[in-house]
Amino acid sequence: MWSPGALLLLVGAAACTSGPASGEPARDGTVTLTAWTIGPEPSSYTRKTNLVAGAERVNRALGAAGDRRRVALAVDFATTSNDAYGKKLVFAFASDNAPDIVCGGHELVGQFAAAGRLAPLDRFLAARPAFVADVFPVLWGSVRHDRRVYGVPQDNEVRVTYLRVDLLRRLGWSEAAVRGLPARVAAGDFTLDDLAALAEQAVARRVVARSSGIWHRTRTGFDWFELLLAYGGRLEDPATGRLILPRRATLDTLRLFDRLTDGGATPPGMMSYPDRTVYAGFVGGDVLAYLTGGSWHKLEWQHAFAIDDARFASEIIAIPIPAGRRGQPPVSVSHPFACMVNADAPDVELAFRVIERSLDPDLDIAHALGSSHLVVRRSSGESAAYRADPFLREMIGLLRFTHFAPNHTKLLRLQRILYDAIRGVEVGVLTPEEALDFMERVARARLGDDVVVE
Amino acid sequence: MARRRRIPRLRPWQLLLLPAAVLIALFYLLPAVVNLVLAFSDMDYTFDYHFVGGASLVRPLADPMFGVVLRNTAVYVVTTLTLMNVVAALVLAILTTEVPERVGSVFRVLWLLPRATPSVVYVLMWFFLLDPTDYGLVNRVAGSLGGSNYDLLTSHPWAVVVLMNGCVGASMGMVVFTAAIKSIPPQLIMAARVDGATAWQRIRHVTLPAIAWPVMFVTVYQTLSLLTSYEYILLSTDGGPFYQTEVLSLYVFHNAIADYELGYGAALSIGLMAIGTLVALIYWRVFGLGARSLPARIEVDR
Repeated sequence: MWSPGALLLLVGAAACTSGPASGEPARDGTVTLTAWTIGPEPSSYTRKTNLVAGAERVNRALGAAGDRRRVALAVDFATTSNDAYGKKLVFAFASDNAPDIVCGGHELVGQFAAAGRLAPLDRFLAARPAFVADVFPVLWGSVRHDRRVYGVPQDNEVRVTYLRVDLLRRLGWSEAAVRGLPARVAAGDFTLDDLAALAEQAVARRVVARSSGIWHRTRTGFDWFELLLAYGGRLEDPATGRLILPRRATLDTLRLFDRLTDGGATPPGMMSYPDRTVYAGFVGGDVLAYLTGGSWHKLEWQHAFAIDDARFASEIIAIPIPAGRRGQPPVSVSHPFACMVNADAPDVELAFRVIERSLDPDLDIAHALGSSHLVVRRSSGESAAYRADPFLREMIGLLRFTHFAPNHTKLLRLQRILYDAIRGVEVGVLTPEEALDFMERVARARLGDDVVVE
Repeated sequence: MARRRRIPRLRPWQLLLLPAAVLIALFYLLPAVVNLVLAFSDMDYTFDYHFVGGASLVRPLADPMFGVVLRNTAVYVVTTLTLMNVVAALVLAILTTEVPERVGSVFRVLWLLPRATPSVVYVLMWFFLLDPTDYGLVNRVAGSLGGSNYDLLTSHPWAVVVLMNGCVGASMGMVVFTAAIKSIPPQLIMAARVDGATAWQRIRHVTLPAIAWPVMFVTVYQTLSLLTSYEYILLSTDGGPFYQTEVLSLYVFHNAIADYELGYGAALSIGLMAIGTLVALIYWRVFGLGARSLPARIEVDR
């Protein structure tokens, strides 16, 4: 039911949202499709060029099959923040100005499929068993909502902790100890507590300045949940689909940040640091560890700070997020990027085919190598070109530890509540126990029955 | 032959009022009505309208952060208003009118620069100043003097927010007060000088009483303006650290636009409107604004 007020709001939203209009099939068989995608890092520009190449390949295939249809694709590549991009999509869908192909984080599936804005793709996928089998099976789970598939994974990444090798050496670590660290982390022999102790040691021995032991991201994001997972928490009840706020794992996470700031490893005002300051501090060699990194950071930092592969490998090492408890496996969080089709697209099948062809192995590999992301097709991962990159080879190995964000419409609210709580602990306004209490009360007030505290 | 429809004739005063009336209806009344309609819904990012009665309106009572946000709003409005928007503006106006005209004009132009600078650029300049590492100008100066690094955005967020807003807000009061001071009949000032009044006595007994009305106007206007302003807080602290600078208007933004709780955001902004109205009525009574709004002393014959 729409009230005049709601309609009025939409008129306003329509006026504020611009986007190329998609078209019905023209007489000459041309189907005009629009696509929106985002970096935001410029190195991911291949997300756009791959879609364009996919459309060209679809057109060639249509011609060869005697089909008179042709795709005219206009792609918009955004470099704004994911938040701003998400808002643009919300208003675009509300005002019927959304593109035909929507690319973004896989959580968009939960948001827009639940609202009936996306076309289910199961029937197209059922006709392409080889393609479905070639995409890493774990990725299909990230684009599923209510037992139906609404998107095609376009790339993937893993989240890792980066450490400065040169600073580890100054702490007395041998080359063998440094190179053996990933195996220790994988075996649960190096935990988050060990990482905190290492950072405190680096500060105490003046290898780094006070508050320069461990730095982390400064904005809200799914990254903060990886610590809850590392402490053994779970985020979603698969039986009911409700979000979970795990008390014990959350408290352990909050205590970790309390320890890091109290012990002088992390600055209390970390969340107010600009990104450029954070990255320059770590990559410049002033900070021992960057806790909430991602595989894409490697190329981003290499571009920003003019570091070649050899220097990067000699100075920085990546490990999965260490386990919170000894003997447990580490974790990583993947945030697959996916392309979805607007339920109102003029030709859903053609839109799907464009997405499918944009993932041809050569394009999949080119994007992965050019943006430091992971390929989504098994055949791409086994190719010589991809295997030749030792960093990406190592990253793909971390997929065994990875988790995905629940595709829940209220995940972003819980994410913000966790971020606020961690920030409150870091600046010393809240004790970990008070922060947990805050989280419980606010989560219940803002998420209602959609969250379970356990 | 069909009768020509008569176009209703408007009187001149109606014609003169029409453009303003249309603008007010479109940009003031209509948004308020839309907001009221939304406040009775649980509208979210799907933009589906479901009438929920007064559920959204009473929800702030169960919101654990609402009390904190109200207290922050009071701190923000009272502090910025008194320290910067009125007192600093008054001091600036008096000082720049006491010095030679050319010098005073230069200082007034300088103080208008923050208002003329785009908000994002203005806040970025503050970030360059306050960067918590060695990159910040404040820390560079502190370092060169042997001091350590300061993270003022974390340790003193209110001071930063009030200064940041106040440097913009003070300029308005400064312009209004300067105009008022310059409209004081010069013979009053001259008479005070002849009587041997000191500068402070002239300000205390001539200038301040003469500009009481503009001071009240700026106080009322800036109070209502501060109640609804949040852009500099959003850009600088985003309400943090941990809700320390989260004011009601920003809380509306976070709920309605960041979390897409459009119904709840609308309900919160109804509360904001109610507070604004209440404050305006209190000012009306305390300042005796009704009595001061005297009827025109000149009648125009038509």
